[in-house]
Amino acid sequence: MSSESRCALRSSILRKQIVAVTGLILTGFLAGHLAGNFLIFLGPEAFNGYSEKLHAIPELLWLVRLGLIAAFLIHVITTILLTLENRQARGERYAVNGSKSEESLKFAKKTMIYTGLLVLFFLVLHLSDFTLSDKEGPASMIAAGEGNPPRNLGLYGLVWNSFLEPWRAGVYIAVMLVLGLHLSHGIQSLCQTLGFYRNDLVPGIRKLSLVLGLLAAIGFSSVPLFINIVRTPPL
Amino acid sequence: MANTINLTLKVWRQKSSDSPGAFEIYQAHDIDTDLSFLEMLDVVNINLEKNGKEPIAFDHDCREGICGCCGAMINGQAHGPEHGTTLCQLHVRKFRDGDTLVIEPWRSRAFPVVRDLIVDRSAFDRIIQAGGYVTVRTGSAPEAHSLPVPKIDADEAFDSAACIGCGACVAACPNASAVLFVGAKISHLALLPQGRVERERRARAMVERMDLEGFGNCSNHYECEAACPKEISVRNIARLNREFFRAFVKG
Amino acid sequence: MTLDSKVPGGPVSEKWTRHKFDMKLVNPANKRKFTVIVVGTGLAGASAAASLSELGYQVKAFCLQDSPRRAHSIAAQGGINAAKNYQNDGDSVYRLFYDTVKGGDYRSREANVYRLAELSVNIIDQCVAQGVPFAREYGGMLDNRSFGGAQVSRTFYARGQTGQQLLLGAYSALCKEIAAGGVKMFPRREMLDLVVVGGRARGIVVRNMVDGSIESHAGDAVILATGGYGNVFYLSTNAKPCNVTATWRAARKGALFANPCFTQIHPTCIPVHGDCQSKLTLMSESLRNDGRIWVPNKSGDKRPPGQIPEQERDYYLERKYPSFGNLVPRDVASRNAKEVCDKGRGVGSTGMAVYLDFRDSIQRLGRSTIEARYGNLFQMYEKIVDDDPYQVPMMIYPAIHYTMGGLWVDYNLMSNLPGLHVLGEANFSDHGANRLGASALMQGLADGYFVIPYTLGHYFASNRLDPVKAEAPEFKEAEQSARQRIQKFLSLKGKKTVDEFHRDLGLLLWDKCGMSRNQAGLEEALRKIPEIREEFSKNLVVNGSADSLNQSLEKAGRVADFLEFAELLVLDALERKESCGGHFREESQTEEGEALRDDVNFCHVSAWEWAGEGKKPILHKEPLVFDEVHLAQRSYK
Repeated sequence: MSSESRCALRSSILRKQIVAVTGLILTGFLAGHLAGNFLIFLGPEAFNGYSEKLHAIPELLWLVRLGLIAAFLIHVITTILLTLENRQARGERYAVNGSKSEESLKFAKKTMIYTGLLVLFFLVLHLSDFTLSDKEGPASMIAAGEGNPPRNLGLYGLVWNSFLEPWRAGVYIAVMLVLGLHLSHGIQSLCQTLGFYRNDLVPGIRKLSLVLGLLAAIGFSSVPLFINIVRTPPL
Repeated sequence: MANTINLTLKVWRQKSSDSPGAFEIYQAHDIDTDLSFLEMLDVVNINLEKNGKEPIAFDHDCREGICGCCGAMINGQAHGPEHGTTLCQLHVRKFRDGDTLVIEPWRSRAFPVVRDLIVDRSAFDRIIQAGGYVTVRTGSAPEAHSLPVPKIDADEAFDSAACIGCGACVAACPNASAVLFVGAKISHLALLPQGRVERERRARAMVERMDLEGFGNCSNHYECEAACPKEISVRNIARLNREFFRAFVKG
Repeated sequence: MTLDSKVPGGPVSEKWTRHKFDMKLVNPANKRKFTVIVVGTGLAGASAAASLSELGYQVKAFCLQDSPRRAHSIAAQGGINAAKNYQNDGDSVYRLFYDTVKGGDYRSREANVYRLAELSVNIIDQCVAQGVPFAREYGGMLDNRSFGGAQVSRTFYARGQTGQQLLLGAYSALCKEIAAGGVKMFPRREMLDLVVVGGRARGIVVRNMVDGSIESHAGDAVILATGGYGNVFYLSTNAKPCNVTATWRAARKGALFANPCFTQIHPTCIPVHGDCQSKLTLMSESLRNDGRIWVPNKSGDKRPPGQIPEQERDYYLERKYPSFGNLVPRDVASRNAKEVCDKGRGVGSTGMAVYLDFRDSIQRLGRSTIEARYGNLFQMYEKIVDDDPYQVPMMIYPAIHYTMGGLWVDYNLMSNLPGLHVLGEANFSDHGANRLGASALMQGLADGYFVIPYTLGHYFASNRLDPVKAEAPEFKEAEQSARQRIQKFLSLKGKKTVDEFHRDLGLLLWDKCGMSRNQAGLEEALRKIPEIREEFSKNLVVNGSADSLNQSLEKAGRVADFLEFAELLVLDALERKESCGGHFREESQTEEGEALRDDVNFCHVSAWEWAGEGKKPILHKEPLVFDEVHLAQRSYK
């Protein structure tokens, strides 16, 4: 690597672009994850089958996982570093903070670091809830219909049982709204950072970003919501 | 007859860059609403001077919105509440009788306060010195018509070149970032064939200098665009991002 | 003293070419041994500093703003003339030269003007290469417009911000040289004195405006590019800090001040609205292309304009000048506005304004056409005045805009003080008694990019310059007197602020030596200026200290110099008993009330020599010889 390239890697812009690219990867992952989640509506076979296929080639799975972990860590660490730098760049604070921007979603922009951190903490809960917990154990047992003995429904059962606890469903839905907020700014932000400047596309991208953020929030929330409304799995 | 109003001004006073500053409160009585904001400060200053006090120091030059000298935060808004306006073109009629205005200098680590509302923006000059030019010697220019420039590019280059270097973008940015200023210059020159020859070198050098000066990073709040008296678009930042990435890829 | 203009021989079209060959050159290796001091970083100063540094000279550049990019050249709106003849409409170097001499009412030096016209084409090339985004046509070629009543379209422009774009071009060239190490930039420095050693200008004394320290800078030549003195009138279209200090201090050190009474008044400015106004804003002259200027027939008619019927309006320019109408030159338009307002027919709250009405053009062309042509100007007007010019006629009034007078220079742009060179608006040479629109930018850049790089080399190569250090007694002396002046201002502790004195002076000058001048008024001004100066020296209040940023102190120094210089301006106006260009002497007019030149007695440059405090300055005359252009009385009837 040339010294110029090393220098560029330390630059504010390239680091922002790294955040954007990792953000894009994570957004892609979320899209896949959401699509997978929707299989829950098709019943345990579809959902568990999808889960098993994902685990069919452990090497590939781990490769993807490592990639995602790396993207996630890079995304988080770079952002934290940039945020700390940005705090310093102001120097003395303003006595009055104002804004001239007439955009409606200033809140999403201002809270990116907090919504991001919240998602990070949520991830610990989420991984311990599902990824790392026993998918064939008692937590997966579901009594489908009146009088039927409980069956082990694998991951499907685990998810169902977990979300039957209202506090958990509540936490998940709340965090998914936050995630949606994060994405609503994040998607258009990464387009800007990666250099899309066409006048005819930019307003569209900004709207699309909002819509996608909203869709993600609704989509991810739909599962716990559905489970809590239905209470018993439609088997 | 002219309308007049009374204003309460809470102004940041600081003797020099290394002495501490504080707010002081002044009453501006019977101010003609047709006055510009700076003329209102002139009136306050004349009274201060007559009472044996030192007037409020503020940068100003052309007073017609083009030199980029003036600027201050009024109630947290760079150049005050009106869009597309420098402080000198802001008029007292935009305020209401009895308003309290908190007037602060631009705040950025890269813009140390020199005195009161005056800050040192030489970091901008150093960024331009790093590469914000076309390397052409006097006398070596070819005939002006030897290189046609599409009108659309020339117009867009002008939009970017309209930057007056006032620093409102930095002041308004939550991160005190200078990317709108740098992006505007990079875009202006990247859009013209004359500037394309050294575009990679320019993008690298100017961004490196910008980082060195201690400005923050862009996180796409677009407060800069809203505060810019020349309404320079954040597209210029996107173009800067692309130009910089292009320079990185080309090595 | 005889004034040698050093105009080379030969036909006017070959003078500069020959002169360039005849001038001596400095060996490339020796250039870095010379230090050049450039004061001011507007178009002239920045272009000179950059070009000289490219040649290899060591340049020290000074400006009083926080950045060289803020010099007042930035505010020029209209455009820059160049004899490219891209429009195929019959333009040529010779025509631009002819128009400029005629427009200047035959009070400029032919050879200088010809060179200016000749260099105009190179300026455009240079600026385009720097990336100046001039307006273009769809084919990618540069667009031109007709400007200031010229009959050919030779004005290049970048929307209404040509000055800004050209200055940013020159500033970028300057930045390139600062980065390369050839130029050392000193911003926030105000020149307080010129230092003359052994009869040559060898340095300057400046005040660091941040910490108040007084610094000496020595060099082999000094270039002043410090702009005009329009702010002597207090209200003008100039930037607030524009001042006469640098040129006036040079004049006190022996440089001759030429034609100070030639001041240009721009007819279309936003009128004064009250006592606290700090400056005047220009509205582009192009507005007169579609706007009709009028006042009510009756004096004291206070009805709103919409209620004044057509037959009770006086479109006075169209009435008096049927062939040119609203497009008469700046001086004629200005004088007529003053005349109607003096008769009590002016409009607005102060009665010092005339209407510029777009009603008829909006009816004829449609609002959208007017909006496309003048939208940004209308917006600017609305922002300042809070009136919608699409509905209500604009109000305008003339204002001081440019000063043609300045330090006397020869063909090489060197003053009578060897080593002191003066460029741009600060010198007197190219515009005579009146400057044409879009010519100021041209002159500043021609001087800086294409004249001084040649002539300065010639000065270095033909003179033996002994080394001079900033520790020399001449510098110490100048520093001492600068400090004393500052201490004097701070010690007065009077009751009146600098701005109030400045306003008094401005009102007096505007009244007695503004758009029209007469002997009695000028003599009265000559009596009153010393009175203001006297009061200034006793009753001034400047608080704060000398060793910190102190804007009142800065202004005090400038106004003190204006108070001395104003007397010279008025004296020059009194001595020049003819009317010409921007200088209208009521005693010298035709039967129809038009300006009447007196070529027999006043076809000369009046160059004034400082004779010392309290002494009348000495007048030197440089006769003006016209070989090419035929002297004729201007007529716009």
